[in-house]
Amino acid sequence: MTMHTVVSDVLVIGGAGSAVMSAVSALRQGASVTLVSKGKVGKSGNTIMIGGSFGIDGESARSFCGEPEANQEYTRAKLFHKLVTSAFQIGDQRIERHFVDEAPRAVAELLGWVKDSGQIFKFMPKASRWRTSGRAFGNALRHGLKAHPAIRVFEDTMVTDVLTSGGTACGALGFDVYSGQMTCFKAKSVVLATGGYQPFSLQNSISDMTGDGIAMALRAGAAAVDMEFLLFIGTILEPFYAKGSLLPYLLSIPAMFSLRPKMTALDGEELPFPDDPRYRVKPADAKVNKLLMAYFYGKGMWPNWDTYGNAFYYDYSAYGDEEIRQAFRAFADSQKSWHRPGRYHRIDLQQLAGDIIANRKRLKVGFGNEYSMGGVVVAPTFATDVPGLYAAGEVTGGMFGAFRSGDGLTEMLAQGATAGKSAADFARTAPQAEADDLAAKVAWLEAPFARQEGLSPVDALAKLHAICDRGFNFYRSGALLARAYAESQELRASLDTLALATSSRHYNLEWMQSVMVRNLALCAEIGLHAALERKESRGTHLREDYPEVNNRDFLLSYTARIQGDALQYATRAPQEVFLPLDRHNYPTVADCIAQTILENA
Amino acid sequence: MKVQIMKSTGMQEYQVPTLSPSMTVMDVLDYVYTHLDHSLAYYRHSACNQGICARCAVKLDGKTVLACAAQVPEDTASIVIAPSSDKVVRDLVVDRS
Repeated sequence: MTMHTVVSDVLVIGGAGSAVMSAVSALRQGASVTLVSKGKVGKSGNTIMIGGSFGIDGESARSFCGEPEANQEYTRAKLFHKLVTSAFQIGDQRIERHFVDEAPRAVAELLGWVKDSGQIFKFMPKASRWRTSGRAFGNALRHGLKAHPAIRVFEDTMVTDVLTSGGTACGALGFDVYSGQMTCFKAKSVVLATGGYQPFSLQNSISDMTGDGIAMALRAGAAAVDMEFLLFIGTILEPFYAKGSLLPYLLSIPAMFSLRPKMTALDGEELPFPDDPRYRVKPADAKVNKLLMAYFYGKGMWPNWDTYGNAFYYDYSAYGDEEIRQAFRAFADSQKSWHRPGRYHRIDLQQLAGDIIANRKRLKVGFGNEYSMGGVVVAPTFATDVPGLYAAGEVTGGMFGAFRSGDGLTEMLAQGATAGKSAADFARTAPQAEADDLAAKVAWLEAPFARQEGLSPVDALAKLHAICDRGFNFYRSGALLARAYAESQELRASLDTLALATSSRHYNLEWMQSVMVRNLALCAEIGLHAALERKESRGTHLREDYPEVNNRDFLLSYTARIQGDALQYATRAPQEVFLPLDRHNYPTVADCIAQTILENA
Repeated sequence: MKVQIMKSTGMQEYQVPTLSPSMTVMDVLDYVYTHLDHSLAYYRHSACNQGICARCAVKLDGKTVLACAAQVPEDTASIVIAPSSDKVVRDLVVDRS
């Protein structure tokens, strides 16, 4: 097959917030820019999957974003402190500071696109947050991109590898998913804005959250960090028409849904959440509840993990049928600015209320992985270790450390703006180099077509999900992690035998998955290795055999990179750039949250 | 349940178990792809599966629906799934540019 070639100064890979902000920012610096997205811009990526809001500090919401009622007690200093403590101190304080400093300008730019495109974002002054929907956010991004027609856009194009010349990034290889046509995107610098990784069968994220950017960066020579930290959130398991919805998290917020369910194991045993003022969260810190819920409910679920696995009930049996129907009517009413009447995305809320009532007033829920804190190691300029290669948004590590209580949407806008500028600065003096690894990358991509028989990517992906469901879930033990790590190594080794059911290159889903499963397996193996080594609990890494937050021995991050054909692991300690580090241990993650995050909120 | 899918090579028939009383068309397609026919082309890349991205349109018994949002009635004995337009790329995937 012939290879198409596209040349530009800066290549941006991704289809949502980080990518659009990076592209616009690079263009503003005078660079010629190409943006390549696996799906449709603004209709793909995890951005469109958001539950409903994002924010910045109250001072900046007033001064940069024209919100006079914004809560002035939620200061820049408080936001920074929250980011550092929520990361359980292993975030990069320079990148956390960048978030506080640069997000207001980037959010203000987005709000301009929101206004111009007629999307609805509603400001909540007390929490200093804007309520919206994923669709509205995506539409605003799409508008922002269209407002800059000089950016060349390739959609439904899957990038499979960063290309290098003498160790410097010089473009990427990709193919059009409909025609299979391969393209060499030549560039003087490259920005990865491709999102995180999610290796479990329960999906609440976009379908392809397969760590593509992280794996591409690793193969190009960059490092990854904090890959054991995955954020989980209540996600519907049944009924099937609602499976994967993040609705349970919204239903747990008193301001959004009036009924308070009892959480129970599948056998009806209550999963306790202590009624303790130490765990009460303020509106601006509401996301801390995600981790508290995983901690307390996970603790209750763990004794029966072998029997019931990752499943529990939201039990509304304390309420009458009409109370339940009415609560869902009121919730639907609160959502009508963004959803069709009576619906939350695809879900008919009265049908759901009826099915909950019919199921003895219970909604079956599991903890689904919505965000990965770990990712590519970046400097405060968002440069990776590979010259010419930059990264922004969820694909990076260092911003949220062990737990994200800040907003991924805000992160991607702020980091995208800086990464795009840095990449354009680099491109100004860099040559347009010829890749020295194009042939090898093409061979890697095409290898599954050449095999007559072998492992199907579909089956490989199912195996990987099963391994991670069992051993790498939101509650962990050394024994299960050790088994999952060994299985993941074995699986990744078997991916050299991938073969496809059809040789057609026209929308060959198996071919796409042959790339994605290789990326995801690499990310999962690195995450499992770090999770096994980290013999403590910290943030979203909840170990039943090591419940203590052990700052004396584990105030560090695990990093990984590829050397030769092997993964090499190392550790790095966080630096006290702005705030001193707390070296005390805490008996549990919940105690650490109460004493370091909520007490100072 | 008998599931007939209009593939590029012609109508293909599959037997799909009722996994739940509230299966969506996407659940049916996922089952066929995962367990019966890895060669099936249906819109599944960068997909939200929540009715947000609106890219998974197919015809269910002649009516255009989003595969992720359309439910298959519980007692259905057979369904026909076809591409949503004549501009077929392969199987159920159409050119929507």
